[in-house]
Amino acid sequence: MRKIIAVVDLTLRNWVRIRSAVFFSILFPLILLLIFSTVFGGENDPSFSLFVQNLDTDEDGVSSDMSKVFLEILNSTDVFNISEIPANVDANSFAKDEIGPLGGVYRILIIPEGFGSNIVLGAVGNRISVTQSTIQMLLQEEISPGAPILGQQEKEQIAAGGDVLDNIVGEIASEKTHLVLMFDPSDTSGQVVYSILLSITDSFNNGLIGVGESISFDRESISQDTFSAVDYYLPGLIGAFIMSTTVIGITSQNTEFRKRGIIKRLSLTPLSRLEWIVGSILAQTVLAFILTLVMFAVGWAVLGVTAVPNLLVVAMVIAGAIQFSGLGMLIAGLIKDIESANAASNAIVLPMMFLSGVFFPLDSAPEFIRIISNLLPLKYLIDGLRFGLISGFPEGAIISLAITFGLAVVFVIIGSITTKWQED
Amino acid sequence: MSSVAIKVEGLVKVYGAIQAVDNISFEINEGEIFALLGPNGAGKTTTLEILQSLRKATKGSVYVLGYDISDNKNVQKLKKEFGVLPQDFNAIDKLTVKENLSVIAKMYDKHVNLDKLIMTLNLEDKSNSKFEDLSGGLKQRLGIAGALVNDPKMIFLDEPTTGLDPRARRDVWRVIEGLKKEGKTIFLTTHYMDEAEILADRVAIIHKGKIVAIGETKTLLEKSGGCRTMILEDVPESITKEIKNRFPKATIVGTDVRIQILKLKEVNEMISYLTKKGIEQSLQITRPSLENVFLGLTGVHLTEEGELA
Repeated sequence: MRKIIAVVDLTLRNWVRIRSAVFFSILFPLILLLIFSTVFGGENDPSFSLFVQNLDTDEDGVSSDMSKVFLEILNSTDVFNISEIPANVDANSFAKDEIGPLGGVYRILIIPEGFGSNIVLGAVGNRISVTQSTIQMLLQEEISPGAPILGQQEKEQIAAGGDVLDNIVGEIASEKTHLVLMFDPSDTSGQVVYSILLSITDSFNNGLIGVGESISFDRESISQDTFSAVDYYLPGLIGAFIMSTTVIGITSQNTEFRKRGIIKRLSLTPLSRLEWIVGSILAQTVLAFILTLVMFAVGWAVLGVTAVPNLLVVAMVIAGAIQFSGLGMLIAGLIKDIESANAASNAIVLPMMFLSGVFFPLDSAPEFIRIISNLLPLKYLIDGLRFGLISGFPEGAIISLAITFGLAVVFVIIGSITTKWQED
Repeated sequence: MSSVAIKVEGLVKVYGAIQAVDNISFEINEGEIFALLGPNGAGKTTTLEILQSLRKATKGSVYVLGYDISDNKNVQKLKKEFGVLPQDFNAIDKLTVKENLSVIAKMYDKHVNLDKLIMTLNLEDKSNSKFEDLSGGLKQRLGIAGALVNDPKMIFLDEPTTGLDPRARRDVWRVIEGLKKEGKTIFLTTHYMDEAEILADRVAIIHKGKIVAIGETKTLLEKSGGCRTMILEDVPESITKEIKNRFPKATIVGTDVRIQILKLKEVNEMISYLTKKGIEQSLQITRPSLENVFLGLTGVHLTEEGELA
């Protein structure tokens, strides 16, 4: 462990004294974050496209009040770019036609017939149920044990009233309202959209069984404070610069140290190849966390970011740093020349940034771009970070986390094989 | 009787079609300075790196400090017991002298006091200077400090003074002589004959992967005749043939003629001959050296740059 810490120490000391490394690892990502949040940080900046078909209409095709309110809430979040689908058409065909011949992912939310009346009745039923529970507690003297509030006669009258409520509940019992979200299983952003919708409907439900202006309260809490454009760009930029810092960091360090004989010198001490590899990866992971913390600190302090990293974000940062350190080792192992290795790193890193949805959502990109994107490791790191920051830890995040950790193992194994500790 | 620190038998190293080391055998005793002398590309560094377990031998057996280095388990133990100054030593540019030493020191379970080591190598004024700011001589001294950080029994020095100016070379020699006084065993590779002559107790001369001579430096010098040599440079070809006929022990190397001097009258004979023939080339007389040994064994000169001429 002492030797591994020594490798981390030498890497970090060396890094902190190379001004260009500090600039490109920390300051450059911050500058990009500030530029993106300034240019694209407007309130009306949509992030995810969503088609909505509202089937809750009357005979004249007029939408129910409740479905209108629900749509207004979705619109006000700024997370969605909503396109409405007429109630009398096939939603899937309509969406395909709207997207056009180039294709692209699309998601359709269907608000079913009876949405408004069902949730109103459901809300009334829920409120009566709450009232019944309260009455029951009163009758059983659970509210004030040992000091009865009600006399026997009052209890009997209230019990009779309770029976009346039971009858009313029986009469208004409604079926649960089922919203339908249709999306392509390969669309990982679809999982994020699903999570966001789930969060909105939860708030909507809670508001309905509450008291007073529940709906208007929900609209405010969802729209401004929870998601903004910066919340979209921040995980993308963090993921992208974890990649560039680790890939370029490991590649340049390994090729330079090898060319100048420093790796050879270290290999002549009791330091083993494994300890060198683990130390190098650990150092890059520390740098990835420093980058993440600085980005969040600026995001919180300057850009009004509200998202707080959870365990998923921590796990994704670790997996991403390991994964791209392995990729860096692989490049350095295959390309011996410093300049060529650095050029190769940039040639891998830059296109991956643009093709993995770092700067722009890939929803409307042509299908072949999305196919390429799905083959790139950065996409899963960014998806995982976005899941963690926007949706908590939804099921879809498991796939991103698993793929990133899986690729981390693969890259580290191959990178280790190409990292030579002994000459031929 | 001193015990053996390194034993090499039938060592062969082949790279594709190139035989870099060709069936060499030698022993190094504890406490001695052993120099492997030869031109660039002779197989010195390859041999050294096999001894350090940095390269695998194609054939042959190597024991260092009693460890059979073909066994990987032994290699890890061995690395704790030797110190190394690699050829063209470099450290991390942005770290200071002390930080660079500390990096190497942390790789060992035990290490010497770094401040004392820095003082021993006269680096105390540069302790906080970055490696990139050091002169060539200071960098090399740091490299030697790195080789001593674990207080090793055995020290490998690969071309320790290559590229240094004469003063820096002498500084490094003084350090190496100091290490010998401390009883360290030193394996040194060099293409500088004067370095081998001054520092080494024993020398092996390697040429094209083969050891062509090995023994105590003094003995090798005696093998060269133990005598001085007359040298005539830039002699026309027609005259070299005539000289060869007149002085059968003369060796012709390019346009140079060299004749070992056994008796003073041979010098007189040569001067008379040159005067009689009206040859104006200056006659040099050199002291016995390993260069003579190398020349005698290989038929080629070894220049100061380590090239064959």
